[in-house]
Parts: sequence; C-alpha cells; structure tokens
Amino acid sequence: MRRLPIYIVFLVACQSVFGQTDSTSLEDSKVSIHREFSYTHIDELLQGKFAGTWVTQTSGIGGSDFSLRIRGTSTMSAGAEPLYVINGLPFYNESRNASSHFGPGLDFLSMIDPKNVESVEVLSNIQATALYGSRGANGVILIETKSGDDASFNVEGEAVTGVMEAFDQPSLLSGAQYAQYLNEHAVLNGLTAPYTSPGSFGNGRDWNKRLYKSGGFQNYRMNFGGTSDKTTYNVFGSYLDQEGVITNSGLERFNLQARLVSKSSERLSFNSTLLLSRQETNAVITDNPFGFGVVTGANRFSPLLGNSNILNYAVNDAGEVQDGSSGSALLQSETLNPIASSNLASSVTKLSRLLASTQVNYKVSESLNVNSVVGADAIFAEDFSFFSGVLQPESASGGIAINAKEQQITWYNRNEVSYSKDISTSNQLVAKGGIELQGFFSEVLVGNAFGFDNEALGFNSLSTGSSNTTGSNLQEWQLFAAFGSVQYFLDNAYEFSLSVRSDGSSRFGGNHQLFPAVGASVDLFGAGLLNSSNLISEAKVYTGFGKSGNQQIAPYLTHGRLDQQLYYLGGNQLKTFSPSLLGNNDLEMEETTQFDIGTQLLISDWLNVKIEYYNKATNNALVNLSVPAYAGVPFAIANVGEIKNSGIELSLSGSGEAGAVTWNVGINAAMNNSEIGSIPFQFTHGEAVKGISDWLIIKEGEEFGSIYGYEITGIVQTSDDLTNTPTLGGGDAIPGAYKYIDKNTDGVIDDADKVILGAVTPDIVYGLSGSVSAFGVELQFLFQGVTGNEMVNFNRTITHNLDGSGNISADAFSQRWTTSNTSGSVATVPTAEGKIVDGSIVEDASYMRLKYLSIAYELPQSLLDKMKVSSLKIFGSGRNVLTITDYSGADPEASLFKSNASSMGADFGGYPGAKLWTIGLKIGL
Amino acid sequence: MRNVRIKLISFASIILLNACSSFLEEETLSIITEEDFFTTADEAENALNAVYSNFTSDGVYGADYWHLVSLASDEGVYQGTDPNLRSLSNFNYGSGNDIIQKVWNSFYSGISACNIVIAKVPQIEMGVGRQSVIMGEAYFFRGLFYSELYRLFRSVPLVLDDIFDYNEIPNATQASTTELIDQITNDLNAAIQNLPSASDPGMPNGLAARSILARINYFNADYAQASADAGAVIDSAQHSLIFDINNVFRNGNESNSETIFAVTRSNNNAGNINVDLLPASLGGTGSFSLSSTIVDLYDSADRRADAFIHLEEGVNYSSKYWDETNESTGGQTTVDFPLIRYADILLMYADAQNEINNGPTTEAYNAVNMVRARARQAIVADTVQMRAVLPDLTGLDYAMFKEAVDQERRKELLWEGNRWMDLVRSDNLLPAVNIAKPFANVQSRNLIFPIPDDEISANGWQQNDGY
Repeated sequence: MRRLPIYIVFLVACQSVFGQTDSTSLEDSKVSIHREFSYTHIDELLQGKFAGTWVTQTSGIGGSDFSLRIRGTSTMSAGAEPLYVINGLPFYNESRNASSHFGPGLDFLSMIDPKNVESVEVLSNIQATALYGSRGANGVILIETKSGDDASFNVEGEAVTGVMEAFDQPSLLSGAQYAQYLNEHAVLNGLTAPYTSPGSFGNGRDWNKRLYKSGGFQNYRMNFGGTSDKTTYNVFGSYLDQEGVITNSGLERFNLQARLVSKSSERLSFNSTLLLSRQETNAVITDNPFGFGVVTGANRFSPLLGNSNILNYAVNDAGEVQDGSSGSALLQSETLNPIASSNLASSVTKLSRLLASTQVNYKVSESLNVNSVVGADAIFAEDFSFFSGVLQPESASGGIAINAKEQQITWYNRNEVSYSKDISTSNQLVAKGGIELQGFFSEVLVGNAFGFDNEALGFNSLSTGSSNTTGSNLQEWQLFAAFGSVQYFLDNAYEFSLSVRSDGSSRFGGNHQLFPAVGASVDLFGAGLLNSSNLISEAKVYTGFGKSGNQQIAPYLTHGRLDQQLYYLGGNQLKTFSPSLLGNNDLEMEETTQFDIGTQLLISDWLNVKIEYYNKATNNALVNLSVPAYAGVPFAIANVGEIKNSGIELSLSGSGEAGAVTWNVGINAAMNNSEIGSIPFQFTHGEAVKGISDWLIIKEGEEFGSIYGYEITGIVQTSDDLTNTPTLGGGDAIPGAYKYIDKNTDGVIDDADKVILGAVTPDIVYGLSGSVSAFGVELQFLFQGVTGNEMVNFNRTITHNLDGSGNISADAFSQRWTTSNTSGSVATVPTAEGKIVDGSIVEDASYMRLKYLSIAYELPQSLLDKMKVSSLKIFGSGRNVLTITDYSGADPEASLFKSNASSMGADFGGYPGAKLWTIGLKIGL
Repeated sequence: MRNVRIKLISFASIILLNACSSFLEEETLSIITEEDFFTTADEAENALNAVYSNFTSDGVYGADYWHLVSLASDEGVYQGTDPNLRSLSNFNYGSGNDIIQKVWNSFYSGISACNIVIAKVPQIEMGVGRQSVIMGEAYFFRGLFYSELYRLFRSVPLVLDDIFDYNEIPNATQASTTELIDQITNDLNAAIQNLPSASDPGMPNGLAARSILARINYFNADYAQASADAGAVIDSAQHSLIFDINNVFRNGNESNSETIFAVTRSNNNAGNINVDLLPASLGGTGSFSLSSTIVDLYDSADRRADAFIHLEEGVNYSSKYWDETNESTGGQTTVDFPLIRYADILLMYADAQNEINNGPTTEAYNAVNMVRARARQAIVADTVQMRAVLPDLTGLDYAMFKEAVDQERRKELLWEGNRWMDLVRSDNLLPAVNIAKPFANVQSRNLIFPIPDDEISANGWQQNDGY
C-alpha cells in the first residue's frame, strides 16, 4: 500500500532549502516532468501541471518573458510573479525590459536549461509560503537541479532537432479585394474610386507569407555523474539553437551546470551548485506598443505594394531596400515595411550568468542540526541595437545605435539551527530558528549614437555616429529576516505547526514586519477517525492560517526623487530639476492574510485526489494612485488597496497497468475568484497601446483585470433617427458607424458611458496530462487551457478598422456593414476606432491547447546489451500541436506586457507563438 | 560555562542588530532627493527652469489650452472624429473630457514648480540680485497660472506648499474666489516688486505682471482697477503696435515691441497648435474651422482678415499661427505665442474707460482707434499699403462704444484665448454660441468648466453646477 505523506508542505519547503536527504517528499506538490517534451524554459515545466498555477507563454521568441500567477493576483502595483528558489538560492525572475533592445522583454530564468532540472515544486499553501515572509504572497517555486546518481558512473547524451512554424495570422485581403475595399472607401468619403479594375491585382503581395519562415531548432545535452567515495556529482552541458520564425531573430544558449554533494563525515556535508550560462537573443522590432513592429506591419501593409505598376518597388525579394527607395514603400500609416524593417532594424542581447551556492550541514548531535547556505548570482547583460537610417528616409538624423551594459549581483546567506526531539515513540517536536540576509547591486551603462553616415559598423562602433548620449543607473537593495518555527507531531497522526518570520527590507525603509502562520493536519485513519474501507485507503485533512508578504517594488520608492529634464527656451537649452516621483516614508510591504483547508485521499489504492480551498486578502496593497494635480506629479505609491482571491483547486492523479500497457494520468483544475475590496476611489490602468491607455479598471467589488470601455449595440442604420442617436462627443450619427450604449442616457457617448467589458484573468485554469506505454513505446500528452477570460485584441484596431489606412482582415471585410448588407457587424465608417476601447476589440480568449505531445521508443534491453549502451530512446514531439479557441488573433496566450500585473491581457503585434516539431535521440552509457 | 555561552550569544545578537539597522538603510545611489538639492545658485536656476519646462507643446499653453477656449466659444468648429474635441465644439463636454483634464493638470504642474522655487530659493546663498529675479519670475508664473485656473474653473484649491512626499500632500479644499483673487494679486504684485522693467523674450518683467493683473481685473469686471493697470502699462511707453499685424505672428517676431509676454517656441520646442488648425494643403489635418459669424465680421480689406483667415474649398481656417518656414513638418510651428500683447491692453483700457465713465473718453477713443488704424496697414511684397477701411470711431454713446470694442476684440484677438473669457465676463456666452453654432448644446453650466473627474474622485470636492 502506498502511504500518503504525513508531513505538511511546509516541512518539505524547509527541507528542500536545507538540502536534507532524509525528508519524506510530498509527491503531489512536485511536478512530474515529461522528459521527452521540448521544454526550453523552466516555466514550461509548470504549465498545465499544477492546480492554481496559471502559466502563459506570452511570446514565441526564445528567452522571452513568461507570465506566471499562483492563486490569482494578490497585488495591484507590485510584482505578481512568484519567488523562485534554485538549489536553495532565492531569485525573482525579473524581466529585462525592452528599453534598449527590440522585441519582447527577456527574462533571466530562461538562462537555465530545464533539461537539467530534477524537480520542481509549487508552494501555495500559507504554512509553506509564510516561511518566505515578505516574499511568499505570490507563491514560491522550488527548483532542484540534478545531483547525480547513486551509480558509480553514468553518462547520458541527447540530441534533438526540429522545426518551428509561426501560428497563422488572421487572413487578410488579397490585392483584388484590397483595391475593391479602397474603391468603396473612397466613394463613401465622396471621392472617386482610385482603381478601375480591382480584379486585375489578383492575390497581390502577401506580406505575412514573406515575413514568416520556418525556424530550425537544435538542442544537445550531455551529462555525466555518479558517486565516488563520499561524493556524488553531476555535470551537465547543453546547447540550444532556436532560430526564430522571422529573419534575424532567434536564440542561442550554452549551459554548464555542476552539482557536488559530499559527506565528509557522518556529521558534516556540503552541497554545491555551479551554473554557467550564456545566451544570445536576436530580435527584430515586435511587441512595440506604438504599432511600429514587423508583425503589425505585415498585417497592415498594402498588398498592392510591390506590384511594380502601382508604386515604386523599393524592397526586393531578399528584403533589401534598393536604391531610390521611396518613402511610400517603406512606411505606410506609421508602420514600417516589415521586410525592410526585419532586415535593417535588429538587436542582439547577450546574457551571461554565473550562479554558485553551497549549503553546509553540520549535525551537532542527534537532535541538533546547523545548516548554512551561501550563494551568489551574477548576471551580465549587453544589448546592441541598430535602427538603420534607410528606414527613416524623411528624417535627416540617420541611423540610431544603442549599446547597453548591465550587471546584477545578488548574494545570499541563510543560517538555521534546528532541534528535534522524540518525546516518545509516537510524539516528536521539531523547532527551528535562523536568519536570512540578501543583497543586490546593479549597474547599468547605456550609450546611444545617432546620425550614422556610414552604417557598415552599426552598433559595433558608436563613435561612427555623429552624436552620442550616455546614461547610467545604480541600484541596490537588502533584505534581512529572522525566523522561527515549532512543529509538533502527535500520535503519528496529528501535526501542529507555528511559525513566525520577521522581515526588513531596505526598499521599505528597513522597518520589520511580522509574518506568522499556524497549521494543523490530521491523518484520519491514523487518528482513528475513519476506519479503513475498501474505497478510501488513506485520508488526510489539513488547514492553515497566516500571513505572507510581497516586497517586489523598485528600490528607492520611499524617497521622493528629482529628475533632470531639458527644456528649450528660444534656442537656449535649460537644465531643469523637478520632482518626478513623490516619496512615501510610510510604505509597508504588502501583507496577504491567507486561510486554506484541504484534503487528500487515496481511493481504491490508485487514485490520488486532492481538493483545496483558499482565501487570500491583501488589505494594504500598494497602489500607484493618482494624486491631486496640485501635488505636482500625477502618481504616488501608497498602501491603500484591498484585493481578495479565493478559489478551489482540484487535482486527480492515478496510474495503472493493464496487461502490457501502463498508464498514468493527471488532471488539475482551479477556479479563482478575484475581487477588489475597499479602495479610496476607482481608477483605470493599463499601459498605452497605440495611444490607447487605461483600458483596465480597479473598482470596488469588481474582478481584478476588468476591461473598461464602450459597449457596442450595433451599427447605425440609414433608417435610424440620426439626430437623436447618441454619438461619441455628440453630433449627428452616421450610418455605418458603431452605435454605443448611452449608460447615463444623456444623449452623448462619453467617459461616463464606459462599462466593464470583461476581465483579463481566467475563471478556471486547467490541465490534463498523462502517458500510456507498452512494448517500449510511450505516448505522452499535455492539454492545458483557461476559460472565462477576455483579451483586448488591439490588433483589431488595425485589422478590423475600415479607415482606409491599410490592409484589413478578410473576415472584417466580408462582415462589413453596407447599405445592401445592413446586418453586417463591422463598422464601415470608423468614428473613433483605433482611439478607444470598445466591444469591437474585446474578445473571449478562452482556449484549450494540446500543448505537448510526444511519442518515444525505448530499445529493449537485449538490443542495448548488444550495442553496449545502457539505454537508448528515440522520440518525436510537438509543442502547441492543436488549439481550440474562438479567439480571432493568432495566439490566445499572447500578452504584450508579459508578466506586468497592471497591464495584463493586451494582444498587439507581439512576436508570434509557434508550433514546434522535434525528433530526438537519447543515449545512456 | 553556561553563563559564558549566554553572554556570547547576547553579544553576538547585539552586533547583529546594530549591523542590521545600517544594513537595511537605503543609500540612494543614482537618484537625487530633496535633501541633496537646493543648495547652490545653479540649483536655484534648475528649480526655476522647471517652471519653464511646463511650456511644452502639450503642457501649459500648448495646443490643448487654445483648443479648449477657442472651440468652447463662438470662434471654432471641430469636424474631426476625436470625441474630446467634438464634445468641446458641440458643448457636450463633461467632467471626463481629456482636454479639460490636461489643461487642469498642466497648470497645477506649473504651480507646483513655482511653489518649490518660492519655498526653497530664499534659503539658498547666492547673489541677491539674481535671487530676487528668480523669485519674481516664480511669483509671476504662479499668479498667472492661478489666474487661468480661476477663469476656467473658478473655485479651485489653493495650494502654496512645496511637495516632495505623498504625506505632504495637503487635503486642500476649494478656495473661495476672494482668497484666489487675493493670492493672484499678491503674487503678481510681488512679481512687480522683484522683476526688472525689461526682460528677454519669453521671460516676464514687471509690466507683464501688471498686464496680467489688468486681465484678471477686467475678467472680474473690476473696471476701475483694470483701467488703472492697463493705463500704467500704456503710460510706461515701453510698448507700441507694430506696423503690420501679420508680422506679430510670424517667425522672427520674438522681440517685437507689441509683445508683452509670449510663450517661446523654437525648433527644439515647437508648438503643435497648427496640426489641427491648418488644412492639409498647409501641413495640418484641417479638422478645425472658423465659425461663419466670426468670419463675416471682418471687412474684406481688413488686414486681419488676410493675416488670420485662410479660405480653402469653402472652409475658413485659422491661419494666424501658420508658420510658413515649417509647413512640411505637419503643422509644427516655431512661432512664439503672444500670451498678452499691447493691442489687448489698449482694448481692455478702452472698454474699462467706457465702463467707469459711462461713455467713451478721449483716451478710450485713442486706444481703440490705434488698433483700428493699424488694421488698415499692410506690407505686401515689400510694398506699404494703407487701406481705406475701418474709419476711426467717433461720436458713440456708452452702448455703441461697448459693442464696437467687443467687435474689435473679436477681430483683433481671434484664437488668442480671449473670446471665451470675454463672453463669460459679459454673460453673452449662450446667445453668442447659439447664433454661431445653432447645433451646439450650450447651457448656463458652460460659463464654468467642470472640474476633471479624477480630481473630484481623488478629493471628494463639489463639482461645478450642472456637470
């Protein structure tokens, strides 16, 4: 009979950190890893695997930022991503934003090859997260890399190769349709139709077809490890080459990881990690909130361009801009020619990382143990970007180059004393106490150069430019915490725990805040509360209550700051200094009070069931609130918000055998309900996309991430009362324009008529994974999905905006309103489309995806013996194999602002997601 | 032995705690805080420059301000699709209008920069002469900015503190009109005391402060005071009307004798007012036009008609700020905007004289006729023209003179931000707008602009009536 683990999650958390080997693992807080899936990022290991963990791969380019939420979003303005603890070293996966490189933001977690990860664990219960104090409220992810086998020596190698294909963009008008559309548009605006025979344009130029290509994929790894004498070791090396689906984009990564566990005596042991990583990302302009990028360009550019009898054909098939290029072929409605742009504007980001840590464990006596962790993490980042002057023919400024260098050093120390005492054979006391210190330092140096007369050297030589500017920035922060906990195990059936942690952070003026938690669990059979039955063989109930926190804000926010600006009075440059941000000496770390209760059952000896309920409330949430205009700056940060999350999580897992077939399956689903509690006043947020900002609203009683805009009721018809139909800003209605709900019935559509159009956070997040194997063949799969979330699809401000400024979607055209198609749903007369958020760009983004699928064949032992290898496996796999969604954009997982909690759920011109097909070979010696 | 151990532990914890308090102290490595600043003469200049840095194309006296006061009057009509501008033109605007919000924010942003100068600069050890000028300029701008907020929104909060921390933000209530007028008057008088009588273009002097005083008193229909202030500016004899009005608004006008105070624009800080005012043929979007009532007012030979109005395909555009040298850059302009100029002073003086004497005086006739005479003069293709229009006014009674000055102000000060103020002062907004824009939904609430939504919700203030 399998035994359910007795220890609560909390204990596991500590033990992972301390590296004790004698722990009982709680298997279902660990995530099973499918080794044949083509994982390239650690966050992918979690997607669809753990109840209540919402993972989004926001972009298809390697190395780009993932978004990860555990049990909803517990903050409004601070970071919402969980804390990662890699081999005992805590780390926030802060994104490297795109200020000095093109493309999406890049994250540092992508630098660690997931292929060397031994285990991943998600901590979301308060008993576990409270131990992380001011960093526990967003959940904690524990990652352990491989630490070597007990076998004397083994070597394993793997080679994977494959191909990536971008998701399909919405289909656009052909040349003939586009000419017809422009003719109609002209007539509608009282002009003469420009094209006499639109049909002659045929298909025209398909810019999407030209922009996207297949991207090659190669991933090789090798590791060897084993045990000799008192030391267990593992060395891992890997290389990943992931070509992009757009020319001049892609990722290359080298990893070298080593782990050494040595027991120098019965009492003293060391566990050391060394990780070296080098990653280069090549990016082109995508994910640009102004709509300047290649993805937007390919959707917008005229299919007639490139047809020599219409306009100067400025870009040849190789994407080179030829001499005499005209501005019109380069730029259309502020969008760059996508082919020219991907060839003439690109950037390279080089990241290097050195992570090293050692844990020392000293057993003073049977009951007293001392454990210490010392570690450092150094990240060096360099960005090189160049934007050719050819792309801005109307500007005299020439090319622009950026070269940025950054280094980030984190050091960490944690010391803990633990004491355990067996009171009797069935009662045990464990007490722990210790301190934790962490410090961070970063330096940034940025150089910009403008006006390159000769572009041969580009970003390699800033001095070739005719003018230069430089900038720099230094930041540091420190964290100090003291903690203690007591656990009592009673009659091998009950467990009680009490923990308290005090955290002080330099970002919050150094004041300490307390994070206490209590927990209890009972083994219902052990306690004699249930008698064993055939159906249920094990049952446990556990609960916890306590507080965890969040301190993930930028340093120095407690201080008011003055910033320099330049102003020109006449021709004279003036230097100015004025407040750019108000300080707030009273800032506190966010405190999230959490209650959870759950049960685990083992049914019929094979089905593992886990049900948990949680309720989280952050009542001093940091809010970037707008302050009265007379304060001089528009915003200040203060602890004035309240945000609540509650939900139910269900996990089922089981495995079995039927003849030669073995199988296992895991299902998880979580329902989260978020609600804004009391807040001094409602406010809107959301970073500007194409000039449209504040598309989300924070309002008491509403869901976090509520979308705020105008609701469309239909299209103005010719038969309508045009004088009395309310319009945006007033005035007569025009047939063919959208009709909006006049909420306050004042006859005018204005701000007061905005309503909540949906929410960007899902109601339910779920996953289904499993495997079936027989005769050495194994099939593995992972389905994953979300429901109940909407997306603001800003792409539709272009593809569904019939303003005549560029190409549009074929669907929009066929569904357009005309005097002969009065039931058409797409406005033919754009009034404010592209300037406002309304129902026409808000869409249901629920989806279900066959995220991974793999099939593997392991050669039988008899063959292996002949080949003198210990294992050999060949496998093929797919990523993003199949997607079921009503979402009209290319990818329902897309998110322009990535992990940014205050601008979730925007899709606009991002580097497209991709399908990946691979085949591989794994060999063990 | 046990005691020794306890001592050691407590000793260690004392070290730890001491180390800890400094360990968590935040060293502001690359940011400048209030404590690091306001000690040198250069820093005093930087603080003053921060006041000027509000004069950007979308800040204080950027396009938004001109759009607001010109569209929400009988001057301008908007035909574009921007809902904010449409609602101004149609008088459907409410407290959520972005343009109103931006104008409110930018004036308060300027005021906060003035408050910092006024609080910090006196503590700085520096040359007394320059210190006094810096203070005078800050007083001038604070008085000017509050006078604008007063005219547009009336009872606005009066905040004079320098604010660097969230906890220093006062819980200000809306000040009474008396408090505001007192503060504006005090600030402008302090400016008069501290400032020299002449200054470089774009910087205020004592006469500029006096002119703004005249303007606010005129707006309040305090004609005696307005007449005294305007009279003092006239008596100083430092300003005069230049020969051809067309040159007041053209590049190179930066230091003409007519301009009393102007917002400077240059290649590095171009204005964008023309983007909407001018038709596509002149580099704009053509979404604004002039109402026909204002256009019809001009005699066709009036120099101001050809200088201010551009007729194209039956639509009249305001080309007052047309910058011929920058036509290709999409309506950007490097022409300075005269915020107050001598013609305005003359016309206010004439009107005020008529009011206090219940009929025009000789000085009143002189003032208005100087403006009319100048409108007869033109230089076209290097040739001086004296046009036979706009004869000198003479023999008018109170009402006729009042009407004549009003018309002269409309023609002379077109799109200079005065019309809405004049209509509010004379309580003529509703009839005038109803004639010029019969489609507009003008109501008595429009005599004051609504306080922006964000401010109301952040502070719980009383919204102006009708919104």
